[in-house]
Amino acid sequence: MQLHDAQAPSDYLPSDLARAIANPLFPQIDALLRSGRHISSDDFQFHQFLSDAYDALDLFYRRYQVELIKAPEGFYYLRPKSTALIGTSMLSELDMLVGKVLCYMYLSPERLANEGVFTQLELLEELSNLADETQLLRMVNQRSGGSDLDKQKLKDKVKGSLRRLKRLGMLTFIAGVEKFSLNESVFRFGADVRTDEDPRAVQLRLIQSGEAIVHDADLPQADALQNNQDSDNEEQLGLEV
Amino acid sequence: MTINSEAVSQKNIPELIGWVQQEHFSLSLPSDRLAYLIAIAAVAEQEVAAELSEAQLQDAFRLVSDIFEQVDETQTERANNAINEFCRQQLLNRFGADTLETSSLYRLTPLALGIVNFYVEQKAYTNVKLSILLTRVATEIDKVFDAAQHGGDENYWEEQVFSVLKYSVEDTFERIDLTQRAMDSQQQSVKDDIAKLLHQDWSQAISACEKLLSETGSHLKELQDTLTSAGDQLQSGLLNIQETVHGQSALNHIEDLTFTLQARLDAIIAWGQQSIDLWTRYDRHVHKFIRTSIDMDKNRAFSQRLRESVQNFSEHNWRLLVAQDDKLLELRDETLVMDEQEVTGQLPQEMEYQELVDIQNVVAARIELQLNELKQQGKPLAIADLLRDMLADYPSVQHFDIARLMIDEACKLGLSSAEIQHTGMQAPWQPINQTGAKVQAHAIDTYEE
Repeated sequence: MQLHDAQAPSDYLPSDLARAIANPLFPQIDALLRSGRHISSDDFQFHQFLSDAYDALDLFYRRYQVELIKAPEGFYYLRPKSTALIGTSMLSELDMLVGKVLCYMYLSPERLANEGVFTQLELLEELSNLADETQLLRMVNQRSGGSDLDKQKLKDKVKGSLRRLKRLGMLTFIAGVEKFSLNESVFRFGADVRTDEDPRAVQLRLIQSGEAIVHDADLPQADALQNNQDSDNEEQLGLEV
Repeated sequence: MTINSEAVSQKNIPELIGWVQQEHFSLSLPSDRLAYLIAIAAVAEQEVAAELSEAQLQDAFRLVSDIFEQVDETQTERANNAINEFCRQQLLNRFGADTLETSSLYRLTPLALGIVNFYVEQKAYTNVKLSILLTRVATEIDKVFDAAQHGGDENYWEEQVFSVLKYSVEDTFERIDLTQRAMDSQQQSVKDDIAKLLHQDWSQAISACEKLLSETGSHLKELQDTLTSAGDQLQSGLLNIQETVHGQSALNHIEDLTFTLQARLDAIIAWGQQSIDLWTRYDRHVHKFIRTSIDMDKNRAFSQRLRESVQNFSEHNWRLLVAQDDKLLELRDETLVMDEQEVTGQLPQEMEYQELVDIQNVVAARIELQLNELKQQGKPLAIADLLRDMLADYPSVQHFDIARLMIDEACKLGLSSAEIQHTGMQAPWQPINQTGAKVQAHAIDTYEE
């Protein structure tokens, strides 16, 4: 926290930040961002506000040890550091799998045919095409033998994941919950395979920047990495703590 | 078709469904049958009289059967079946022979002609044709207006005005409507083409897609421009006729007809505009798709890698972190009003020492005093004996607590020599109360100074 106190005196409120906070849209956007929401150009008004006030608001959130990120695809979201004053939460394994499939669907020419509208059924089909079914079923029941009950449970869980991703602003339900359209922010799920670089290296970078976390014995634990990252930052800024 | 649609609109939906069920209407046309029907229509077109003999039908069937590579042997029977079925489905009308010598004659029904036209002439609708239709209908309306201004007896109105409006103008509107519907299907097929193109080769398809998009878009726009410019003229023509016949009770049916025609024209123009809007939306959607999906994934390698990452999920088992602030539930409306009433009062005197910590302190002090006496006299502190004496003074529910306090205090005072010398001798278990609690401890005999 002291890092930024050093950069900007704490008793000074830049006028553009004051203007941004005074905007009637701010409380709503702030609450959405803090709840993990990604704001893309589909939310036209909010997106416009964020792109206008980006510099000021980035400074504002840094005081909470949180970065306001503008993704290359144009959407905004908050990325808390390990020392953040705003809570973080981790997506579940199934959330990630569904997210990856959604990202794949976003890129597929199928998205053109129905003008960007997909159904839950299409998602489930794509999911069972792409992913290993036993692995999927293990996510709902460790000892699953593939019974109908487990399959039904999986369906329900996938729906749950969809609802969660909806809350994060990655998709929009259209007339009920059966149909939805996707949003650029699903690209966050494709982050590690975006380029042909070694995915492990990219994953490591994602973890270092606080974008992601990994449960894997081969990789250093997230906590250790976050500490490293903190000391890295401090070195770069040449400050003593 | 107009007459039919009126008949349709006069019945409500359940009645219509019941009617179809009652009359056993049904249509079934697999590819070979449809091909046969179209072949019959083609043969009929070449005939001057448009009626067909059974022999001609058999010939047509042979052609179809050969192309579809069906078995020769049963051909005559199958042709017979097909012809009978067409008659049953009201696709062919049979004019039966009155004697055994003369053979039957066949003619295609309007239903059959409609089906054939749909497939054969589908591609013939163009905006050129539409403008011809519009010019024609404009001339008709002008003619009707002239005739209406002239006026005449009942027959005159019937022939020169009503029938022209009803059978010529309305029929032309019908055709315009059909043209629009054909355009609808054309748009759909362009959409399918675009999706197919993108499936094949991604980035190279872009220019082809853009060409298709702009072609269809400008086509639609041209069509609509023709429609709107002609539409105003047509509407005013209809309005003129309406004004002429207005107030003449004998001509009410003509006035009603002009209203229907106006509504019809409005609907045609409105749909034209709407289909342009829909197309524009689709156009925008495709462009956005090209901008996002294709630009981000030029050679589809990203998709491929994404696919693999789902397949080998265990190697990509990282989890996204998202901000999730605790919800500020306290700010809900109902808790906004603070309850500032004082809720704590004065505590009665006798309850003040009821706190457990206080009781413990009192007891501990008492024990400390007792043990200190032993320390000062230098006597060994036999925990089991002391406990037995002490616990006798307390109710059994408190024994555990008292024993704990007593042992804590005793340990503060010193150590047992048996413990220090590591003799390895176990102290004997000794009972400390009536309910069978036991203690195993050496006597403390080395006091700390």
